[in-house]
Amino acid sequence: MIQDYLFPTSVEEALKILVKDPEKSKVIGGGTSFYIDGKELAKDISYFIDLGQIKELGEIYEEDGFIVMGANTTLTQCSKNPLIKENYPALVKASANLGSTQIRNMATVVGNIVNGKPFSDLATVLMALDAVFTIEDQDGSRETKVKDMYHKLGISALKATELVTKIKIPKRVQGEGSAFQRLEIREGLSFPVINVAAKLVVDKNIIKDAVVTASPLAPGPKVIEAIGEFLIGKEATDDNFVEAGLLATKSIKFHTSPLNCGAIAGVTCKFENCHYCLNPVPSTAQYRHEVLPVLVKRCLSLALEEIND
Amino acid sequence: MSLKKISFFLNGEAKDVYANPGDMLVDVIRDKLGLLGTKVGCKTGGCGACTVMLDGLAVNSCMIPVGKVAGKSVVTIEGVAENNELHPIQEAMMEDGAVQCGYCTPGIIVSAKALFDENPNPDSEDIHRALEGNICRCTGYIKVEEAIVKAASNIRKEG
Repeated sequence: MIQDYLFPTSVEEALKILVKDPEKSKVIGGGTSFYIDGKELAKDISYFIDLGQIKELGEIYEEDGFIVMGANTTLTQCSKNPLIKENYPALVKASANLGSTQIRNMATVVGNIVNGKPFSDLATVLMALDAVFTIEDQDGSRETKVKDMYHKLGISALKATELVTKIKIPKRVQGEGSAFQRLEIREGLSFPVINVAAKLVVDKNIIKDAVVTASPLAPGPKVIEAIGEFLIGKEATDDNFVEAGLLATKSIKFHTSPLNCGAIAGVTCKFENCHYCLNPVPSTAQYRHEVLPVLVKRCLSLALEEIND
Repeated sequence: MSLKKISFFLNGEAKDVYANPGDMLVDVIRDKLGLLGTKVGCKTGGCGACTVMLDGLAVNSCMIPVGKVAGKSVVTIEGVAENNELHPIQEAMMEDGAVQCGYCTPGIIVSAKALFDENPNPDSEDIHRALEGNICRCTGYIKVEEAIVKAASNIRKEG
């Protein structure tokens, strides 16, 4: 039962409160995912620690070659911010299409990663953009990449006494473009069947860098290494993008979503590594593997179109 | 049961309510403050029947712990009409018959108001995006969109 709802006004204060009783505290950003799958958890929680009043976490600014986004940035703010729009078309696309307007007005970018969901749109994009998370606790701060933000299926690697305070993304370089594709059963308010994000750096039509990521794969999204290895040094042509798509499907392993987990009935799933929780949209591994090349090709072509001169 | 005093602005008026800060905003609005216009549909942020405005933005009141709104401004469907005059979107929805069973209507009107407050001149895509989170099981979306287009044009004429 909730005893108190606290609004710390600085990161130091938030960490001080958090460390008192970390197991019984819940850090709230937007709070949207908590009320979807957290109703049962709420029984064990005594304190909500809301970061909404910490002003320093609400800013988006440029610093030392990075765009820095505070942990309170909502998806709406992210998708409309001029710095983000200028630098990361993929991030704008992903944050402008997640959930619904009502959800995007509350939900934070950081929350979409720290809730540990394997089908996170934002994690897929941030991994492709090589984002760095700043995590603070009372002993200091550390930095980590998206791949180290996941502990196991559905559980983030964030410790109970830690807070994510900001995300740093390297600024767009000359000739860089990015794109995001989400296969979904309807537009809006749905979980993805597959997410694919791509970052491409091209100089005189020769590919200098190519990073393609996909989800849902346990526990977080994955970089499809084979694509980078294949594309770098080659020409940015449709044929090469098609080939990259075919390579993708050989180098990652999707799962079929079974329909026998408690989460369907609204009960918290008790299985470890449950494939339904991993892929909540009913779909088969075979289907996912067949459509992946199309999405990868589309994503790379869109990233090429987005390249700045 | 641990009750706390939570103060916020509801439809422009300062309110103090004694509630558990973990209670959902929609439950407090309906059960403690007696405003029944805000509907409860899915309670998982999927239907938009519970849409209210929080500091000017459309949000799902079924996903917000009431503790979070302390000091903030909440506008429900009851606060959309001002000075006993219906909002142009309310007029247009009545005139166009953009209501079937009516359960989703308060949420749709609040979403549309949030849209107009931000952008008085929305195009079709803006309207679709603003209503993306409002589900109408009678599937009356076309008339709703027409009513919003009409309301926007009426607002421009008045303005």
